[in-house]
Amino acid sequence: MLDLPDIQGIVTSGYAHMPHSRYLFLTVTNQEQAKLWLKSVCPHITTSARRSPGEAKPHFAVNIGFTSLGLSAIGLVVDAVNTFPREFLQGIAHGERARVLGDTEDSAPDRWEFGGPDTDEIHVVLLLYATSAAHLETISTQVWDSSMPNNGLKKAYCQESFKKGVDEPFGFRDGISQPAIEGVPGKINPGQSVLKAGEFLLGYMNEYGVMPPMPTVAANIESTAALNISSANPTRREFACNGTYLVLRKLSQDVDGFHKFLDEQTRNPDNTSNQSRQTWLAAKMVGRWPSGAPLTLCAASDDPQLGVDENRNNSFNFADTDLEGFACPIGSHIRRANPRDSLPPNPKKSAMVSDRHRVIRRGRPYEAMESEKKEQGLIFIALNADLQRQFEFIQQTWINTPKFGGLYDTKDAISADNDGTGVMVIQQKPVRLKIHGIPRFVQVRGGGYFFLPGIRALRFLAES
Amino acid sequence: MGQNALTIITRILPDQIEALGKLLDEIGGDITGNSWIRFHAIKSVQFACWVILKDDPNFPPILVMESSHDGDTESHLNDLVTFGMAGLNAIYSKCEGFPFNFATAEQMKLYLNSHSVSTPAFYIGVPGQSLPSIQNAIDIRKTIENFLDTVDLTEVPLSTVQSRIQQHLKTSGINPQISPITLDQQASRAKRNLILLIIVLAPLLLLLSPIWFPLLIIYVIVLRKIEKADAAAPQLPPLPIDPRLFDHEDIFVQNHLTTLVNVKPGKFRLGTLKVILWIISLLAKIYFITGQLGGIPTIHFARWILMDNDRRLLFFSNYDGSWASYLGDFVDKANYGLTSVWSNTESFPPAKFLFWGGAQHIEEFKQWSRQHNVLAPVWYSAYPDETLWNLQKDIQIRDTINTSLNRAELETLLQRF
Ligand code: HEM
Repeated sequence: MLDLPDIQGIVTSGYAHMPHSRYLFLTVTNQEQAKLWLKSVCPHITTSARRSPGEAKPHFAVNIGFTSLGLSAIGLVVDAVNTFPREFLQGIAHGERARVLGDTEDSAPDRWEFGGPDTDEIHVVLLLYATSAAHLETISTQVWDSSMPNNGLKKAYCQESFKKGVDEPFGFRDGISQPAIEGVPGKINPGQSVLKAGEFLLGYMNEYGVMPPMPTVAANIESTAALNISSANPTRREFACNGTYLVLRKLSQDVDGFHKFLDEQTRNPDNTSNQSRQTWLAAKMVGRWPSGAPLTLCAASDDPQLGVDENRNNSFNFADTDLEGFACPIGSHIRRANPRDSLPPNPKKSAMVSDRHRVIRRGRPYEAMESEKKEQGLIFIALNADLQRQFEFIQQTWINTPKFGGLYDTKDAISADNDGTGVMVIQQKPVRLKIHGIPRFVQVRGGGYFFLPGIRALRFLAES
Repeated sequence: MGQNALTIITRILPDQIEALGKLLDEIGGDITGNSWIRFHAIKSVQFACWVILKDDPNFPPILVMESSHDGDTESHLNDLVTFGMAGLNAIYSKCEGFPFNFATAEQMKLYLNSHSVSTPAFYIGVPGQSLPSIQNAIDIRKTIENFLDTVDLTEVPLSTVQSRIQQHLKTSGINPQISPITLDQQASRAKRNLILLIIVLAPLLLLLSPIWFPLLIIYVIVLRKIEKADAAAPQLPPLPIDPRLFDHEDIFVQNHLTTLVNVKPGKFRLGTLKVILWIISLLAKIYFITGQLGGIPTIHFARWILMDNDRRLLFFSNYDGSWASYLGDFVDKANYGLTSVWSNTESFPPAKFLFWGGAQHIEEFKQWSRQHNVLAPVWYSAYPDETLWNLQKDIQIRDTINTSLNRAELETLLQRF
């Protein structure tokens, strides 16, 4: 059984009815004051508890996460912090992580706007969501405001996001394919994987059929939070139970560059632009048409009705009809990010392996004017129980690898660490089409690895 | 020509450990350009590495060299001394039992030979493919690849596509050197061997079941008792992870892994381990000959060595892709084999009935692995940017491009690029 009231709301909901959001990154300046502040916000934290029948949808949502430095800064004892895994302790900007993720050149952490080695240390992230701009302001001033007296925190960075529609800035419908968590009530769409809770929450069985290691605290620390005693070691309590890890990355998308590239690659013989061919090439890169319709189900042209139809738009696999990649290229974004049943040795095994490397995506687009130029992209957010095995694995082993699916030298055209010499291979008959010179359309501008504690663990942090 | 394993184990002179480390760093830091060992000139070596094992105070400091090479030991050693004399002398003058100032070729070969140890289990990704054969396949594929990049074949009838490619190969002056055994033949050999094995074993097992079955029951009971005791025993303190490991990974598409662990004490564990390694070794020779080690499709060469009077187990592997994906593959595809080997060694996550549990504890398993990984300061691959999957495609392309193909076969061939 899932302890829904102890689980932060973002794990089970994308807050789709709240288009306004703000990500507030804070630094702890005074531990005692920060703890008092945390105690005061605990009641505001949105949980996964189901609404009772007839209860109106809320106007805002608040969730909170901590970096490993943040856990220490707010007073979690060092022996407890050290029970967290290496990736989390290092943090996303650590050189080892940057290498794994391909955060190099213009995407290197030392160039980041936040979360890097040269910007303010980030301890806490507040994820604020609201139905209207006014509600966002209301909740913001309620939860944290720099004008609050002595709250022991200062602002390191603030990121706004407004979700106009369902598309990401390159013009594709996003947020279609998500794994569901076993035990969370809700509708399951055809084609949607239902995965063990342990893939997205600590303290539950995962897809390997085992209980993953659990970060703990000493059992003798005073607190009213009633954390469970660890079954493996009665002198410890399960601090991370009902918690999860949240990856946040500000991904800047070069929308102009993307369209310019598409145009250059698809000109008619008389050198005029070919709009439909541009859409075709972009769709081959993504693996879906702009409407969201998967290429595997409609290879020839977009089918907007299919794109919006939840009962059909994710109900497909690759092995049966598209193993060679003639419809959805082997190296396309969605096929790398979730190969489904397409990898060797066989479809069944492949589907099992794919399910062991999923994340729940909660990303939203952002937009800003920067010296007369529109700067836009995605605030990419992913939730998972094992940063290395899930998020990092997808980025490193599937998106960034030039050898994916037996190919020779091609990375994901959308979200890999391309360097301008990238190649994209589009399977077709008699021989593949190769697109050369793919630049890095998406740059990393900031980010962090956060731990989202369960509600009791939050209280524990505030009290102990 | 088949590939073989050479493993050389020597004790390091205690006062030379640091100097040896520096030397190996220097060689490894410029693996193809250093003047100590001219790896690229050695035409018989596909993979090679040197590792220093020195962190366990219970054992003397040891240097291990592994190479995966073509042909017999004699000609491989000849190659090594021809192109690596300076390096070999510098390395082994820092080891025990090396009485020379500067050994001659004959002395060096004798020294190496006398320190070589047998390899209880050795796996080969593409058996029967010598380095020249592999390089020929890579060349052919690249040549065709470049050709396909420059011509537009969309309007060309399929029947002439093959002849245009053949023509291009001819004018480029590259001849396909067809494999003695094609990959397809290898696959049918594996199948046939498995059937043969079952035909031989099944009646034998049936006939002898009154003897072995009771023994097996006793074995399982004892095993389970030992496993439970192991799981309940206090855990050994975690070992530090060598941070240099990370700087040496993901420079190429291929990576190298050395894992050193202590075998659990007692004859029971050692006996079990030896039997399992023997089975793996047998299967590697007759069944795992199609590019999959127990289902893992990314290993070029792997070997297990028992050392220090069977007290430690050393594992070498040369694999494709990231460490995380490799370890994941192990658990996803070869969990039983993996657990049956390493559950006989210390600190491994608890197993059930030898094959279950163990590595299934993926996070603990990865931690265990990292803690027992040893850096290989010198690591050489003759084709570091080719995955095994690439190689298999290259070989298939090379072996079939000049044969007569029907339409479907030709279409399949063309999709390999
Ligand atoms: C700005 C960069 C990115 C853009 C524009 C982008 C765009 C898209 C689009 C249009 C889809 C298809 C719609 C859907 O299935 O929801 C998608 C799917 C997906 N993306 Fe991304 N993406 C980006 C970065 C990333 C990154 C960095 C990752 C992970 C490391 C990622 C992981 C995924 C996954 C897992 C899916 C679902 C695949 C499936 O289950 O079929 N994306 N993305």
